[in-house]
Amino acid sequence: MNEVQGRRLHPMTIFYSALRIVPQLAIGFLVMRNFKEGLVELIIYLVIALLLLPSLLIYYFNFRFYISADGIVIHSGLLFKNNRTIPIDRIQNVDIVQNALMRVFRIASVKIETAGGKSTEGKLEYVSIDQAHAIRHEIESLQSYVSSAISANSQKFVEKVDDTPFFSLSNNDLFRGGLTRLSPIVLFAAGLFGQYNFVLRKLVENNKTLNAATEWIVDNVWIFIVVTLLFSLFVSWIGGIVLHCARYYGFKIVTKRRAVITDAGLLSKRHSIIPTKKMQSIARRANPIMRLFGLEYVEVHTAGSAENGAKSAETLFPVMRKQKTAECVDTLFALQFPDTYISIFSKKAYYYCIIRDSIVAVLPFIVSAFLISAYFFIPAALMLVFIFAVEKFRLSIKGYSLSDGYIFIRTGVWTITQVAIPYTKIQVLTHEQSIVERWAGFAHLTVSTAGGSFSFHGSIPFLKSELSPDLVSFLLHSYRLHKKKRRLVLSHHRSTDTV
Amino acid sequence: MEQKESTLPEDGLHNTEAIYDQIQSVTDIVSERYRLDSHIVTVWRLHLLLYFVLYAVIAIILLIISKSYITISFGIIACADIIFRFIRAQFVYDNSSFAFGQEDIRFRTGYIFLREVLVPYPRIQHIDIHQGPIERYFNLSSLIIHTAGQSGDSIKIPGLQTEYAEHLRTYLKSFIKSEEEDT
Repeated sequence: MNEVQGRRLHPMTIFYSALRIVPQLAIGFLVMRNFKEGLVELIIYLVIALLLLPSLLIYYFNFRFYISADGIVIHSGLLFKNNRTIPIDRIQNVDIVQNALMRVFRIASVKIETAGGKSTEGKLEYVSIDQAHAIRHEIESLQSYVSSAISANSQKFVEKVDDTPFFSLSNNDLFRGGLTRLSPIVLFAAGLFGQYNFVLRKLVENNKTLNAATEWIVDNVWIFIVVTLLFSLFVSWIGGIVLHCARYYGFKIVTKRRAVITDAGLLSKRHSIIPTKKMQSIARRANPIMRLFGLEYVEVHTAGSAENGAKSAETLFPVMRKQKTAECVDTLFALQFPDTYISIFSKKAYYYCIIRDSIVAVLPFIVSAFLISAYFFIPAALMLVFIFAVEKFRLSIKGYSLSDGYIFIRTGVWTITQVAIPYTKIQVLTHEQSIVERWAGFAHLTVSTAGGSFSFHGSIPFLKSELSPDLVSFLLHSYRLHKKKRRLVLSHHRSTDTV
Repeated sequence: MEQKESTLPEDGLHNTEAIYDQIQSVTDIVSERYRLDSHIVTVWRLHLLLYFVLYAVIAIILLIISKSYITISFGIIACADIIFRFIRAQFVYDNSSFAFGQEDIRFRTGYIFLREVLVPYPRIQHIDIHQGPIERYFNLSSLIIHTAGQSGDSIKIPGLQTEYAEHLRTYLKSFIKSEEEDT
């Protein structure tokens, strides 16, 4: 492990980084040209562009990294020298990411993540694909070496490199999943709708330059909007299928002693390791279309956050039949989700929700009906009906259940989520009551884990206020009780180890 | 949906009996609730001076750049806000208390939204003591307890005597495990 020289990145890095800048440069150039036709700006721009290229060279030639039993040391920078050390036992994740263009050059980026921080702590951009796998393997073996030095017990374990997948997704399931994935569609449609709205407004403003076609559009705005919405729904549906298939093509899971490794991707391959230590909660989710066909997918929420801070949920099993996911979760974690949940529905809670929502959503319409025009009563009435229906559905879905090692919470309106939180992973319990809730005898309990932005799944509203302290103390007690026994272990792999 | 009253142990559980027994056996042992130092109300009210200055600056800017009636309506809202905060301080103080459970520290606060946060001792990541200039005059500090979760999940206990806050910190520090705790 004596590396005085340190390792360098792959030489193709310079070329690839330069290629990555090209589109940005082009966009900037176009914007500049549109903005002003002056030569001075153009020259300044070219100077900046020329300065960027040497910076790539400097980055490449000053970048060294060392891997040893102490940790990973990364040296970078010329003017501002940056030395970063990541201790081996702090490393949570080693991700290898490769997109289509990188595959052409046979390079990959290695992302080394620890528990803290919002951004990736160690980025090796870019190394050759063979080296990437070698680095990952090296880190893994160092990790088991370090941990075996600490505990003599685990020395007996020899990490078997067992690459037979625990689970792999069939093409049939892949396509079926794509058909039911509707989540990005709404956003896409809304975006398109906004776009058309903007175009329409522009057309109306420039009244003089209207020709016959745009006149028709302005006359039949509603038909136009409905058609565009349907069209955009269709387009994004097709897009959803393509995206889903590209993302989860060849999805497979390999289990190791301390981690689950997922592997997927058609064009850009993603190979990520989810350590069991980092797993916080497991969620089965399904949107209405999936529910119609008895499909669902499974997510696992992890501690700390991966890149951008937003993504702290990893898909463990993509969209599949319900029985199959239940089976897979059971064999992997020895975890069964309950069939029935304790409902929190009560008439009082229902009326409370309706009144609360009406104040927010209906009252403005009624006020404007009095002030502006009586037509505003129509959306107010529609909104009220909508609220009545949605709140009934929402409250009937909301529920919780307790089992030996987990608290289960079911929530959601569009995408219904059943989340399983192990008692051992509880970080903070928050017990909330507003002034009205106190009067009505309700309490709101939130079970938070370290799992980042997905902690909102753990909220149970409308508990009876005489019941909630009992539940809190029960949760705390179970937390202490189960702290010693480890939950969320990979029962599947443990059995293969002992054999 | 049928309206099911939310009774915890009756239905929907896997092994109902065992859990119900467990719940029965766990009684909420909180020996004492501790209040904050009463000077904190004065501190909070003095903080309003800062708001006052801020609102005054905005009002002057508004007076220069816009019509007078806008400034007047802004002034009314600003005054109402300050008066509301002034009155609220007492209520928040009345509702605030902290306690040490068997395996957790809990802090309750709020006026309209009453909120109690419970942090199990092993979950404490690190502890800060924070002291502002006005608080320093009254020899008060606030104790901030961080967990591994989101930043909103941490506890901030204001209005502790500085010596007491330091004492509390050393007390809570003993619960933080030196070995790497799995999150």
